[in-house]
Amino acid sequence: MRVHIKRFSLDDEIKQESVTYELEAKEQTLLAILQEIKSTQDSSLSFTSSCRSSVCGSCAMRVNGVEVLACAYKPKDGDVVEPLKNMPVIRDLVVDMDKALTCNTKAAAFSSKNSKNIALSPDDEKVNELQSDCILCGSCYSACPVYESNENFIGPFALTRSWRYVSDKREQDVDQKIEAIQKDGIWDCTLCNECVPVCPQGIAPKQDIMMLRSKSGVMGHIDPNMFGGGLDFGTPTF
Amino acid sequence: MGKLQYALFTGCTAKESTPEQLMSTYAVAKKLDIEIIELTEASCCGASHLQDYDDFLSLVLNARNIAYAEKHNMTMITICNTCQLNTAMTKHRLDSDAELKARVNKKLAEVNPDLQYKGTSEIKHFLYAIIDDFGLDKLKSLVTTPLSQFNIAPFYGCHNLRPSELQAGDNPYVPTSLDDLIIACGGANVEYEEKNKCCGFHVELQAPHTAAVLTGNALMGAIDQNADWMVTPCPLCHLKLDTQADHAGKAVGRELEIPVLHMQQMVGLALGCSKEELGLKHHVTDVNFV
Repeated sequence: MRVHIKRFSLDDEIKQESVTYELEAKEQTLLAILQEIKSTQDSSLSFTSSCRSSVCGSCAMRVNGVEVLACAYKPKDGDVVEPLKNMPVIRDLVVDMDKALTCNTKAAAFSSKNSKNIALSPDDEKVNELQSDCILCGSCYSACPVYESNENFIGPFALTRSWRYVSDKREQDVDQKIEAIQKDGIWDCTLCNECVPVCPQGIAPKQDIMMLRSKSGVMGHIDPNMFGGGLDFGTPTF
Repeated sequence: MGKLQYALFTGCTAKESTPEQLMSTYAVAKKLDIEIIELTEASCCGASHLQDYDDFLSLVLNARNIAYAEKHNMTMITICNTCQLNTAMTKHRLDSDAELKARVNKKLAEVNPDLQYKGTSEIKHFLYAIIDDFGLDKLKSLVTTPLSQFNIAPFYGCHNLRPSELQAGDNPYVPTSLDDLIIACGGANVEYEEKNKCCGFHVELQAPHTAAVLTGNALMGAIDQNADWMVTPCPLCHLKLDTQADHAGKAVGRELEIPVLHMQQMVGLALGCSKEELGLKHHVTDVNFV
C-alpha cells in the first residue's frame, strides 16, 4: 500500500514536496502508519498526536482534501495526506494553531469569573452537552472558507464554545459575550456548513452560529454591516 | 412509470430575481412530460435569516408551505438550495419531535383550520427529481442537441450538500449528481476544487469582501480548468456567480468572465428548448454560445 505525504520544511527556505511511502497493507489507523514510517523509514517525519483515541484532537490533518483525525481514519491505497489548511505549517503535518486558539479569547468563550455557583439539572446539562465535547482539533478552521478569506474572522470552534457559555444558565456575562462576537463573528458566517461534516465530535458549529444570531437578535443586535447598521427590523409581534 | 407529478415550491428568488430559472423549469418539465402544480399559496422559507430572529416562526412558515404540498398528496420539489435546506430541515425537526409538531400545528390552525402538517410529502430539489425519479438514461434518450462541444463546470451550492443527513444522497465531499446530469446532456464535466464550495451569497451584505473572494475563487477555478461555462442548481449561487462576476474579479485581481447557466437551462438546451423559452437573455454575463 502506498501513502503520499505532503511534507513541508522551514529549515532553510520554504520547501514543499510530496513523498510516497510503501507499506504493508493491513488494517490500521493513519496514525499507526505515520508512527511506523517514523520508526522504520524516516525518523524526520513530523506530526502531532497524543491520546490515540479521538479525545485530544491533536492529530487532525487532511486526507484527500478532507479533514480527519489520524487516530480514527483507516487509510486506503493512494491516499494523499497533508497538514490542516488556513494555519501556518511548522513542519510536515504540524501546524501552528495559536491564532485559531486565540479566537476563543476574542470571542470571550470561557466561563466568567462571576458565574453563578448553582447546580445544573440533567436537562440544563443537555442544552450544551454537545458543544462541550469540542476537542479544539482545528478541523473546522481548516474547512472554513470565511476564515480562509478574512484573517480576523473569529471562526467555527470559538463560536461553538461561545454558544456553549452563552447558553449556560450559570453564566452572568452573556451581554459581554454576545457583544464580543458581533464584529468579524456570527454575521460573517456564510452558513455554508463546511464545518459540520468535518467535525469528529459531531458538533454543528453552523447551527451554534445560528443560535447565537438568534440570541443576538433577541438582545437587540442587528448585523453591524447590513445597510450601515441602520436597518430596524422592529419588534416581532408573533 | 406513470406521469410524474410534483408540487413546486418556487421560493422567492426564482419568482423575482431569476425569472429565467422559473421559465426554464416549466420548459424542461413540459419536455419531460412532468406535471407541475405551483404552490401559489407558499411563502418565503426564511432564507436562513428569519431563523435568526424567530426560529418558531420559520418552522411554522415552512410547515405551512409543506402542508400545501401535502394537500395535493404530492412530493414537493424546490428549485433553490436554500429553500431545499430550510424545508428539509423543518420536516426533519417536525417528524422527529411530536411535541414541536403539535405546537406548530396549533399555530397553523390559527391561520387556517384546514391546514395541518402531517409529514406525508417528500421534499426534493428538482435536480434530484430528474435524476432519481425521471432517470438519467431516459433523459439521455430524449436529448436532441447534445452539448458535446462544451466543457461545463458544475457548481453544486452548499445547501444541497450539507448537512448530508438532510440531503438526497450526494457525498458532500465528492458530489456527482450535477456532473452526471452534465454527462447525460452530452457535455464534458469539468473537475475543479471549488465545485462543492461556498459562493458567498449569504454574507453578500454583511461581509462583501469575503463574499466576493469566494465567488472569485469559484469562477477562477472553473476558468482555469478550461470550462466554457458553469451550471448551478441554485439561484442564489447564480446571482453571485453571474451578476457579481465583475465585483468578484476586482476582489481577486483578475478579470473573470464566464457564462453561468441554471441547471434547468442546461437541460433545456440539450432537450432542444429555444433561447426564449429558457430566458437566456436575462444573464449579466452574456450567454454568447447559443
